[in-house]
Amino acid sequence: MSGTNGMATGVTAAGGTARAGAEERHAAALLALAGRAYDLAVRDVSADADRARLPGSQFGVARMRACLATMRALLARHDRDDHIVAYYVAGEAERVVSLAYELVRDPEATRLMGDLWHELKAARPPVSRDLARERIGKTALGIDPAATPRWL
Amino acid sequence: MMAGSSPPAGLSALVTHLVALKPDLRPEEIGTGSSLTRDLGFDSLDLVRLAARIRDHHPEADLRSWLTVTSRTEIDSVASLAALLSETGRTDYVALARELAPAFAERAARHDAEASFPYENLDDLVRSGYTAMTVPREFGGGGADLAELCAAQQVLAGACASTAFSVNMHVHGLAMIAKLGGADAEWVCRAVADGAVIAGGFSEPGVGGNWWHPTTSAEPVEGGYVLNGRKGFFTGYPGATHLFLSAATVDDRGLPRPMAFLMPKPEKGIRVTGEWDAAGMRATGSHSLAIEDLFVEERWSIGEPGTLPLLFMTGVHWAWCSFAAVFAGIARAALDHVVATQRRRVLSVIGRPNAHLPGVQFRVAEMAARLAAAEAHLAAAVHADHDTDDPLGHYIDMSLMKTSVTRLAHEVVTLGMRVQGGSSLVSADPLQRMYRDVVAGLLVPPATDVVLEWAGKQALDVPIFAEPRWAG
Repeated sequence: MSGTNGMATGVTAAGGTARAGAEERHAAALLALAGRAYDLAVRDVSADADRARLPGSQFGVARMRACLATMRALLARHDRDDHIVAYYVAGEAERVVSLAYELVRDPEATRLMGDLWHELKAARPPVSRDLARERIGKTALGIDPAATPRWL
Repeated sequence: MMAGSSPPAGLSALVTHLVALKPDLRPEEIGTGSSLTRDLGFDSLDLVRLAARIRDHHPEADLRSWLTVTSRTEIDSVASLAALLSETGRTDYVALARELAPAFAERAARHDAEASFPYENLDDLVRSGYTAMTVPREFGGGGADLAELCAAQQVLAGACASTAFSVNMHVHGLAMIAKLGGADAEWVCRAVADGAVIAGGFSEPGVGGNWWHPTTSAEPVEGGYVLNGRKGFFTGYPGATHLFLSAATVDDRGLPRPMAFLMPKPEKGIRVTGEWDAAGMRATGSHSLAIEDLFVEERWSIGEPGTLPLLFMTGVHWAWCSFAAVFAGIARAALDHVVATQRRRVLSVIGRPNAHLPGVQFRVAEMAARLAAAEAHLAAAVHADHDTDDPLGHYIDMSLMKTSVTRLAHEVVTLGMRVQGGSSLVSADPLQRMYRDVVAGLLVPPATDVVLEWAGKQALDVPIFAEPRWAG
């Protein structure tokens, strides 16, 4: 028999708002890290006029710009009751920092980029990615995310 | 939305206005019983902005009486304001799209299989006034803004992407021309209000997304121009009564001056060289054309010679947002279809719907997350400040949005195919059509490589139009 057990998944009515706020803050922090990686890469590439005029550099920077614009839009317009914002931003922030890593050449910039990557990976989400994925999927499919047993 | 009663006709329009003013509101959260102040968080300043917006869009609405009743009864429900908008007689184009969608969805498979143009859908769109959506109200149209256009187009695209994409060339092109004002705008707006349908042709073989360099020539002659050239992907050509296309004259220094022409579909001077027969968007009639000694009267030119790129860049939000809306609409329909199927389909080995399988849930989660991101980026672009003194920057921002939204829409539908499994390839499953249609989003203008080049150069402070284009 399926039942509802908020304790199993950490879903409680009172905790919902606090959790949503924590996820928003987490997403905002990751977006900020991705933004710093982008700025660092743009500064590094711009400092070398020849490299700035290479299509590979330009395409890499543009891809980061596009990802950042989508992340910002989602952070500004998202459903506070779901886990999507933190989940999506985490994945895309990694993509941006990874793209930025490929572009920097200056040793100091490379070291700073390493720090950003470490910070990104060390930032623990309020809800694990696995659990977030489960809840997003169940909600979309009309299944109570708090129902137990969780799996077949 | 409130269950048990049908929503007022003005609800879609009101929801569009509310979301435009408070972007963090989600349409599905706005119930007819919601209080504007208590539930949706509108303060007095928000209400003033809402009143101004309603006056702009619904000049006949008697806001004064609504405000009087509201202040007396303290009932400021969404339903009461939506009912007021319903009384103005203005068409709610999102509701109209919902009304037309089921019949379009039913016809979509046949048109896709036959690669036939959906004339009957276009007739419905003209007859219902949908094609006059972006005609300003003073010329007898609906005066829909970009938000309403995109919301309506998403609904149509979910039913029949080919129909939505065909009419998109008309509705967004018309909006751009209408913004020009003057005689050029007035005659075409009045023609559309009377049933004219426009197809647009800016793509050419060998131009490769560089639409501002048309190779079709416009040679000045007495009373007009003679055009010669070739056009590709002339979407909506079979159903059009009017054609909107680009060509270039040559100035005194021998440099090309791109121009736009909008003319009644001519009886001679244009020949179909290839009927549209493609893997996706098969019912769009995006034929290839040869333009051969086509005489175009002077009066059919739009704007001043050479100003086409600037005109397009300042109005580009109409184009790229509406393009993105079509592909986001396909992705939304794909998610809805996948969810419905996975909730219904039961695997005998588990004895429950597939929706309970972890792999299905994880992939559906990825679909939902990407779709939310795509819709958010589109909404941000729709509601951005479009009155810009930096047309190139505006063009790049809108182009990046279109690139992101169509990439995400494509990923959503591709994930959907994997969730559905082999049955998604069967021709009876609409998902395979969505899969073929959504790919077009990656390919239609603006060309992704040009977007990436321009956006990258702008960020790196490299002159965008300098030659040679790259170092090395």
